[in-house]
Amino acid sequence: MSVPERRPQDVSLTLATQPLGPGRLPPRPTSLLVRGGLPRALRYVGMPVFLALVCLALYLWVSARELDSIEQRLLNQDVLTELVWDHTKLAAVSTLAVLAIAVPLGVLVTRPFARFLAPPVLAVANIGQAVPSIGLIVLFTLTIGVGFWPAVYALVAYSALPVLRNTMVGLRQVDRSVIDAGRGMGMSKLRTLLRIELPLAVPIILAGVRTALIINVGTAALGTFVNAGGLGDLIVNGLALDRDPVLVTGGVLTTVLALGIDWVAGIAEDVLRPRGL
Amino acid sequence: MSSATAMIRLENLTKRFPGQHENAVDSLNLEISDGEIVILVGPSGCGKTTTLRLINRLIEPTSGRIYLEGEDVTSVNPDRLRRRMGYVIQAVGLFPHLTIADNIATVPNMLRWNRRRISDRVNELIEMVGMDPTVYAKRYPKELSGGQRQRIGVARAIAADPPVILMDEPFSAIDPINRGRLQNEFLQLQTVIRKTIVFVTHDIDEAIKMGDRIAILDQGSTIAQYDSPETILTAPASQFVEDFIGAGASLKRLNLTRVSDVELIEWPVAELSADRGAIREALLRSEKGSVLLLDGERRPQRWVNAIDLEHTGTPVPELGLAAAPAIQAGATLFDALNEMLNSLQGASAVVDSDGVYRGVIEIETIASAIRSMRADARRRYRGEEDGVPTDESTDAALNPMGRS
Repeated sequence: MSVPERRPQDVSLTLATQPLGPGRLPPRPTSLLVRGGLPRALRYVGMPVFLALVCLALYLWVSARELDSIEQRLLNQDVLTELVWDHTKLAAVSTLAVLAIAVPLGVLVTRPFARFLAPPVLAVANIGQAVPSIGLIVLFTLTIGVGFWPAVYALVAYSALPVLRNTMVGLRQVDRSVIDAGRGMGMSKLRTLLRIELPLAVPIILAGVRTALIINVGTAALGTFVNAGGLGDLIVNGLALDRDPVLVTGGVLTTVLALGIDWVAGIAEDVLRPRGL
Repeated sequence: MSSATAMIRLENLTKRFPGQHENAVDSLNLEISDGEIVILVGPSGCGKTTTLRLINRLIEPTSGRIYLEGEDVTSVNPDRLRRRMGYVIQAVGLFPHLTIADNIATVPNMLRWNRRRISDRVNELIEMVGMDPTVYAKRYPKELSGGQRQRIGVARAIAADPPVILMDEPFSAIDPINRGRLQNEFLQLQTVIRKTIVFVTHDIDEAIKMGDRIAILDQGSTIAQYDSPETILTAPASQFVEDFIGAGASLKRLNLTRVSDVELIEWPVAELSADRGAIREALLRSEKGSVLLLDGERRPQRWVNAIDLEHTGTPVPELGLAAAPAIQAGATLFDALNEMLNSLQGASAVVDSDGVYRGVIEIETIASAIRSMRADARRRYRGEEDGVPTDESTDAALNPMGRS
């Protein structure tokens, strides 16, 4: 069984480029309660129910087995809670860092005076994502040692591209005439950016952030190689010690965590999307 | 110096874009009086939109000065300047993520009006452009039709009551029927708000309809002619203007004159109840080839000529051709000509608003009206070439409406 790593390249490509299509985003009904109707309500409720069922199945399967001492040492509440918490922390901190770096950078390189910076900045971000994530983590470890932060740096370098690119795309797709009208009525450049351009780019930026978050949750499993903790510990130990319950628990929990965070991000996307779009 | 009434004055205004050899706008001088609608019209690429965007400095001029209400605004803070000028563009550019009310409140918000004043103003404006605030204030732009969006665009532009409105092809993207309606509504609105309006279009018909004065622009925003629609139609200053007005110029000109403005022809008439002898007698007394029969209330009924009178089998009221529909005295010469072409007659009876016979208009009358209009306008135009007219500016000065 292989490491349950997501395929971030594929995910980011579809999510990041989807808004470029001719139809743009589908129209959204305005009221949060009624929009989407039944399918959306099912999606909101269905995913957590499904994940709970998966966890329950895992629990029953593990409980039904006779666990040896190694398995007992790894599969208990304290260890699992700590690993899930470490994993979540890795993903959350790295995604917040990506937000703090890539969104301002995306804003900067779409300003007319800094437009020349866009190609080199994109090139660097592309390198960050093109290098295999395990290679990135090792590179950071070689230069700054092991632990939580080197893993975060590697995750940031790895997942900055979708947010950066979506910020740029999101700002560029804002209708010129809307900006023109704002400027023509006497809105300053800063006001136009904050009141018009960024709000209108929010759906696309959020899609990028969601992609980055998913990449980070998946890739954080590699944090185990640099002693950053996380659910990768279970997977690696399970493989190394040939203990199937440990390996399966690690794999399933990583997947459940990734899907759960994606579910939260999906709801955040719907709530934060400006009305009227 | 007429700067007392000049709302906007452009002085040697020049713009050259980087990397271009020609000036996009070349030393333009233009004076726009308070309360008038000035149309900038010209072929594409002539620099009319650039000129408009120079006025609110969305494009910064290379050289020259811009004066607003006598004040040199060439180097004041452009954002503040633009809050003194409404701006309406073809694409409207409503903010899709804001409600109609918030869209309209854009400039008042920047000017830090208090909330109460803003909401009152928003409701007033939505009503002013013919929509219902209780229905539309909380809606989003995508829930409106194209025409409604353009109305809101206009409302947004006049929200903070700026003295000047700049309009860049505001109605071009709207279908012809709604365009006509919006144009009429806007002209109606203008009689109330009395703004100084600079209006860019490529459509000469729109220019003639909307403009108090029209500036026809050639390459580099050079003014080919700057005058009232009447003068431009009747006395184009150059071959370029004539070409731009196009083949329909004579027809367009006919829209500027009413039937009541031209001299009607005395036509031989007879009562519908008269006998054939009396009608023949009337026909012989006149050089015209036919007689117009009127009913008891002097309403035109039939055209009768000598050959018709030979048809002894037909009763008099059914002789010849029907004279209806007659032309109202208030109709334009264009309507009259249209009627004549439809009825295949070289003449048409003219009636007043009660349908009572007033006289007859012939195709020849229309042709000579065109000739004399052209001669008049040419004389007027040449006489005025040095001094800036007109009486519009004094009209506007009497209407210091709407400043706050």
